[in-house]
Amino acid sequence: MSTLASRGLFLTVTVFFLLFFVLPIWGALRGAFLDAQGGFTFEYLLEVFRNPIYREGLFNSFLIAVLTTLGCVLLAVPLAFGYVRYEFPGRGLCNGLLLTPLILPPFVGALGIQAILGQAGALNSLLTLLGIVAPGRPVDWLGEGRMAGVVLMNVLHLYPIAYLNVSAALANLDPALEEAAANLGAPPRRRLWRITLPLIVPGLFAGASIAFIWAFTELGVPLIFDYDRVTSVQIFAAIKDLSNNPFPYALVVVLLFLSTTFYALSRQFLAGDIAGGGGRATMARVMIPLTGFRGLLCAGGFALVIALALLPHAGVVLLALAEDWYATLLPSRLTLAHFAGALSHGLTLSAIANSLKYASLATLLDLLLGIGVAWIVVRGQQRGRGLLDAMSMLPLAVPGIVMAFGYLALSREGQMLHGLMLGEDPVLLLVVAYAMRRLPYVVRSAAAGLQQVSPALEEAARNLGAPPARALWRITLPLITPNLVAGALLAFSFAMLEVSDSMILAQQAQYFPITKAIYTLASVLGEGPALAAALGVWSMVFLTLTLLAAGNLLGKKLGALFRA
Amino acid sequence: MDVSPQDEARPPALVKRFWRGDWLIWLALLVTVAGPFLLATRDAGAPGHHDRRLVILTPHHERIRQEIGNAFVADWRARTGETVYLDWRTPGGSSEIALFLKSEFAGAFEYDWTTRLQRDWSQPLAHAFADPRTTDRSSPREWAARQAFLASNVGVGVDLLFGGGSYDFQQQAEAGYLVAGGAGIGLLALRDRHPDWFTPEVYPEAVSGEPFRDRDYRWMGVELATFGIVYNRDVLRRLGIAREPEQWVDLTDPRLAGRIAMSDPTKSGSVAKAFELIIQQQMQQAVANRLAAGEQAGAAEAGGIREGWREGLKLIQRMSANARYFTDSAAKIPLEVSRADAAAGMAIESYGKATEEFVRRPDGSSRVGFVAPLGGTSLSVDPIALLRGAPEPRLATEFMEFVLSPRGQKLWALRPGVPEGPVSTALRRLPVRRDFYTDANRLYMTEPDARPYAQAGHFVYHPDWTAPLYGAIRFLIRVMCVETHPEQREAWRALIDQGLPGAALAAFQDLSGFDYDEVQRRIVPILRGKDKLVEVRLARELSAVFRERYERARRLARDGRNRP
Repeated sequence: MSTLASRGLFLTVTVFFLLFFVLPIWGALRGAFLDAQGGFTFEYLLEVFRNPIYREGLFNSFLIAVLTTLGCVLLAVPLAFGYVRYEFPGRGLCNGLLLTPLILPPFVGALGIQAILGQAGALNSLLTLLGIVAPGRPVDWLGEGRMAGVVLMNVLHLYPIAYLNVSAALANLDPALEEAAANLGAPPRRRLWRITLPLIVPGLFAGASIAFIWAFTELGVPLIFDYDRVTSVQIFAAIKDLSNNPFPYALVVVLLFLSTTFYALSRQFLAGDIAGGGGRATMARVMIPLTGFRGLLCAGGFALVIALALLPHAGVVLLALAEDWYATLLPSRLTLAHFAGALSHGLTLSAIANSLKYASLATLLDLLLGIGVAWIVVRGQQRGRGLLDAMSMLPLAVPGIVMAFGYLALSREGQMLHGLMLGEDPVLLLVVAYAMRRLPYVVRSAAAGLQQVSPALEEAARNLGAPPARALWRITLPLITPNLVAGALLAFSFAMLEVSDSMILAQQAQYFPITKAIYTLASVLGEGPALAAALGVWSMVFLTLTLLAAGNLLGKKLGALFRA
Repeated sequence: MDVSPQDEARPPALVKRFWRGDWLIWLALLVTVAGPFLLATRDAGAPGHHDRRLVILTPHHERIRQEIGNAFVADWRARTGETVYLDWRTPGGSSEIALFLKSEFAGAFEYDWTTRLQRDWSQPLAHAFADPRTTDRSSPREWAARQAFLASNVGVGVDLLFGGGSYDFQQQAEAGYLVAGGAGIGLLALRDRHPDWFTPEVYPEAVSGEPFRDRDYRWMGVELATFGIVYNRDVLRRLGIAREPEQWVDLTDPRLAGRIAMSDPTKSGSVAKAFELIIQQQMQQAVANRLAAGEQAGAAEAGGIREGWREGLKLIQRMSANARYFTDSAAKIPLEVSRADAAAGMAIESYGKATEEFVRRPDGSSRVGFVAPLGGTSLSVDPIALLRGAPEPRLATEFMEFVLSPRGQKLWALRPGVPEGPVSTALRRLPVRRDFYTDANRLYMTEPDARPYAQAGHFVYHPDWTAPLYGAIRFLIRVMCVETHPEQREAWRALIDQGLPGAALAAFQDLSGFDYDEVQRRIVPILRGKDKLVEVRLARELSAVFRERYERARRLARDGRNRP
């Protein structure tokens, strides 16, 4: 790419970051450094480290992040290998279903898990039926061992990220390389360790880094368990405290700083030297069929993971269908009244339309920006690109609620982003907010893809006379399509189910996205959780169908790419 | 979603099946999206055409908004022919609303100050302009800002604040967010129109010490609110507790360890109020006991207050030790109790009763019960108020008039379908208007035997006893119970295991340094002060103090076990 074009791209992306990331959180974070007279101080930051409760919170958050990342990697890598390499019964279905955690809407996911793990929930009922637990002495899964619960739910929620990125990386791997190693006499284990794994490190890193930062800063899951010795919940608690205290922003600063540091360190050690990939497959990968017992075993492994991952979804579905699900394994009486109530509700139709609008536009914006940032980071020569890379991951680390308040403050009359409010319609603001927060997925995926594709292919195209833009469009982008699809799917799904920005920035009922509609329904007295669950089920069905349709569309396209 | 490049290598026969499956997905997608569209009712979002709009900020749940709102809209259309659109803003509970008002007014006033008045903005001004303690003895700039705010018509685009606790409304009124009106607007106008409403027979100013409307006409109570205990009969039976709870002290039963649902008072206004009531009850009992013992009135009151303060805090400490954990919202408590994850918890009467009703079995019994402790809870109100800078102050006044009129008050307590009652849902609340409680109305009430004003006599609220310490109570409970909860619970468990040995129990309930007077001398000034850093340090020091005490109690209990 010409220097002018790449410099222009760098500038555009940087300006976007400054306006829509740095600015919103600056106003809030600034308070963490100001003392009562308005002078500069580090005291608030120091207080964070002096207080054993906050130190414990930071340590717990770190522990949860490490355990979650390990869990995700250990779960995702074998599954990705299994899928890409082997042919076994139900393979296609398993692949689709593995992505189900992506479609679990917030709030109702919590209700679903509570319905299953509660003391009068399904699990205890099952254990009582089986005689493992005495009736009248149910286990308090949600009350005891909360960190284990948080890690488990995190892993079940986040492993698709690792799985998508690793399987995309594996799919991009040239089987010729492995075959060459086999020809030279390397045994399978050695091939795996010395050839395959190093080549998929970009994909692995993409998934693991997102999982780590997410688990480190995640608010929703610890909140379900009311586990308050983690930094994110402590921040949330302190923000909701009304005494005007800027202390929570000091916690946010520490969280941000640590997240950036971890990311930078891991990037240094893991993603520093990436061997350039051989580009796309020069030969078709031969899938190894697994028949009989081994095939069933493989499918069984997938099925187990899927079953665990689907537990919250099952809880939500049953909750939506139950008249009153209490102390029984399955609801005693079923009804469709909640679905009728939720879907015919005045809020629902507009909420669905709004969510589709916001999420699609945000994903589009993310693709444009994400490819730009990934290009600069991987192929560019500018000096600031390491910083840009780290900054592009930061939106994951900032608590959603902080950014949302930042946007709110900036969109008021007289403030810088007020132009984004079209009258009272926050659509542009929400699209930008969503896009900013989902950018890391697309950037990481696109960067992983670019790292695997050798620049030699593009150079070859340019040598043959194609202008740089055309080379990008016709050669590089198609080659990294699986990665882009992975990133875009993640971005779209998470944008559809987004919480913080939706709760705070969409204030008028006609602009509510789905999550806010679910939250509103949940607070209907008595029937609320069931209504919310019903709308949640609808969201899940819709997203599943969208994922399947997108996959089908792409499946055809991918196939067309490799027509002989 | 297939990322493997093998997709194209399919025999032609399968292509046809592929296509059919593809088509099926798109059809399913269409049906899913069409569902809500076909089921949507007519009163969705903003009506296609409306003449005027009223923006109302409220924590009230869906059914209340629907019934009250629809009744007003219908009434207004009948009277004037205009269609009003009620734009409900629901950021969440009373804490979220307080946060919303604070940040919105700050932004609006900053804009007004800097653009219209052309003056410089600064951080201290941001706190001072809405602080009732800013007087002519403060710095001249801050005093000027305060006066400018109180004289201005700065608004946040919202007309009315409808629902919340009277304490919160008092805070907002003193900050200056709520206005009394005048010249045909606000409660002052209503006083001119209906002077008979503002009499003890209709809308008393205070009942048993609790304010029912603002002396300066900035807010007025609409419906009654009481606190009580919501409990699950199945869980109590399971724990071997035969008697259902009747008083707050019943929640300190050691058999309930780990089974109480509690909410953080710094995050929930209603729970903070409940704690204050507990302390008030203890104070009253202590004063009554001293008077009965023959002490002089003045000495009895002074001594009783201090004794009650200590006893109240100890009671709260033991309740907290019995808690599973602290949730962030009061609305979660009845849900947890209903799900049998908790045996009991504090709740507002309407939530508790609604939960009880929702799970009522066909035979009339319910696993959930609610009780308002006799003499342990005051009769309080849920008010309405006009906001400063309302876009439609006259229409807002009409809404207030409707809600306070006999017609509007009936909607809260009558059965659905009866004349002048709600259309579809029983709201199960009690109106403030004393002249509502006639035999004629009782015929149509959902609870014909409700006599709230008679029961109010059992508890007299003395605002001067605890009002100056309201913030301190929240703060203390935070450092004494919420932040130190794991240590507190462990100590309590150890104590229970040893049968509550005297020395250890005394160490556990050691409140030295936190007397009524010492708290006012040491803690209250810091909480009121502007330096938040000092407050953060104080929180850290005090948590450390309590953590140490709980540790000591735990050790004493453990050592007691080792001694013969």
